[in-house]
Amino acid sequence: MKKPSYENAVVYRKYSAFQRISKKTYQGVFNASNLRKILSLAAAIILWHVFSEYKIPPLGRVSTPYEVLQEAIRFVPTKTFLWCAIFSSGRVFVGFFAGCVIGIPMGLFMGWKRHVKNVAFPVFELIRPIPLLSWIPLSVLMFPLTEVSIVFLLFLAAWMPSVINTMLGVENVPASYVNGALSLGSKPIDILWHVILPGALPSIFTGMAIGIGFEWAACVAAEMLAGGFGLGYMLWEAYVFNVYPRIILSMFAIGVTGYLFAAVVRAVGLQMTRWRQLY
Amino acid sequence: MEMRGVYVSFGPGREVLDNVSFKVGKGLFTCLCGPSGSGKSTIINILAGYMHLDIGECLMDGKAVVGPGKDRLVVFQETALLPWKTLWENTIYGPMVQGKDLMEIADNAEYLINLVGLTGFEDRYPNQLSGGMQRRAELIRALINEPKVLLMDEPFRGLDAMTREIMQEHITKIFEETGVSILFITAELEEAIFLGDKVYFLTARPGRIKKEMDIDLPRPRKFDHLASQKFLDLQREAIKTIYEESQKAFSVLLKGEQRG
Repeated sequence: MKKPSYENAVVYRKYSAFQRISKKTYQGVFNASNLRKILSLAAAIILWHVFSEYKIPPLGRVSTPYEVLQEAIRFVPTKTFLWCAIFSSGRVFVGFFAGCVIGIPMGLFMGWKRHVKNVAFPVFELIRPIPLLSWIPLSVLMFPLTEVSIVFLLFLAAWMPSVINTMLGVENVPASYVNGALSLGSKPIDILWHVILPGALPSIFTGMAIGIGFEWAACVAAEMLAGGFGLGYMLWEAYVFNVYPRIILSMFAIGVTGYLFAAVVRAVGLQMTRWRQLY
Repeated sequence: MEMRGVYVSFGPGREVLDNVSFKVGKGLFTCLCGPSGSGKSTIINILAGYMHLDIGECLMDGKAVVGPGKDRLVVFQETALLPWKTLWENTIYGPMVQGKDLMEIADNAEYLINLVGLTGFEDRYPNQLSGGMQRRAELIRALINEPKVLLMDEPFRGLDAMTREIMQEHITKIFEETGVSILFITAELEEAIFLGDKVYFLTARPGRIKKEMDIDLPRPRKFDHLASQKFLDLQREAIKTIYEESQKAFSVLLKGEQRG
């Protein structure tokens, strides 16, 4: 075993702060873990290329990465693509907003007052298992305008997880917190604002993140069927008009936008529940 | 505060309290000692107003207790500090929701925080504070409302011996300075005798008051009183009383294990 030597310690101190930071950054970026991550990504893309280039099933008729890249360079900067993205995002945003604004207060009431829960919960639990996409025919029947029927679907997608997660969040607030606050002379509105709402906030944000996931799935499916504009419609159109690279491009675009939305929701959630990360 | 002839049962065969009567004297430090499962937490719930009473009476200054109120505040076993509020916000919570003036609240809060030695930690969240600090924070959260009675349900359970000693010092100091009436539930005999003016001993389930003991150790209490002859006598008496009850409670546990 090497004897600990003081020379090494002295030599370390001779580096300036800048040199030490750059050394740490260098080691943080160029290390074995990152190398593995990059290699696996590269391997995936190479595999894709090999399979599609040499027509190996099941990727026999799928475009190669290079074709997708070319299509991307050609298509992404166009106005059509931008409009599609904006349109889909707009729909998702409206549906999400409506779903949360209605769902969260409803969940709060259901969690807080047992009577409200007994009234509302049975119907809700009957509706919840119905898959979103099977709502499409009913939605079209109820709302003659295509746009409204799509937004209704998106509303449902965000509404159901919001209600249930909010309700569970409220129910999980320990009774001792509420009891303590009552003893200290809080009125019901104080309990709601200072105890129940902050206590349920982590669950509320979980519900919102789940809702966003459902939202995007529902959006793409609804757009594929109902048409108009949007990323889902772009995907379907690419298939119908045989512009195959655009299929994969659309998938990536949908994935990226979905990820961005979810990331924003999660970031806001983390910001508002800072107290959980501290230790 | 006073409890008279209280009988509580959660169903057939699950009686918790049987004919419990005791008084929390004004300005006195009353301790309640008993083995686990003897209904101590139930007593706290009833006194605080969280639980409704069917048989028996629970009175505060002669009037029946109907619900939670700020004249009887509780310090729980597991912390009930709101984890999403800082120490400062937790402390000022009571007066704030009662609509008191903020400047006044700030003065009181600062005084109390200094009293328990938590200066400089006002911006920490509860899960950044150690166990002893959380207990102290709960104490001042209750004290800032100047309650008439402080109900403490085994507040020092789970703290290590050194923290416990410090907390005992603190609570004695606070009691001797503010003169609030305290009901202190504990399973530790020495703690009960050291802190209290009067100790009640509970039997095993169903809980009854087995014995009432007056502690005539001088105030202010100091740690050298722990070695005095009077203390040892009191301790011997207490151990005798509680030993049989602990045995009974333990055998109930064993029987329960054998059955199930």
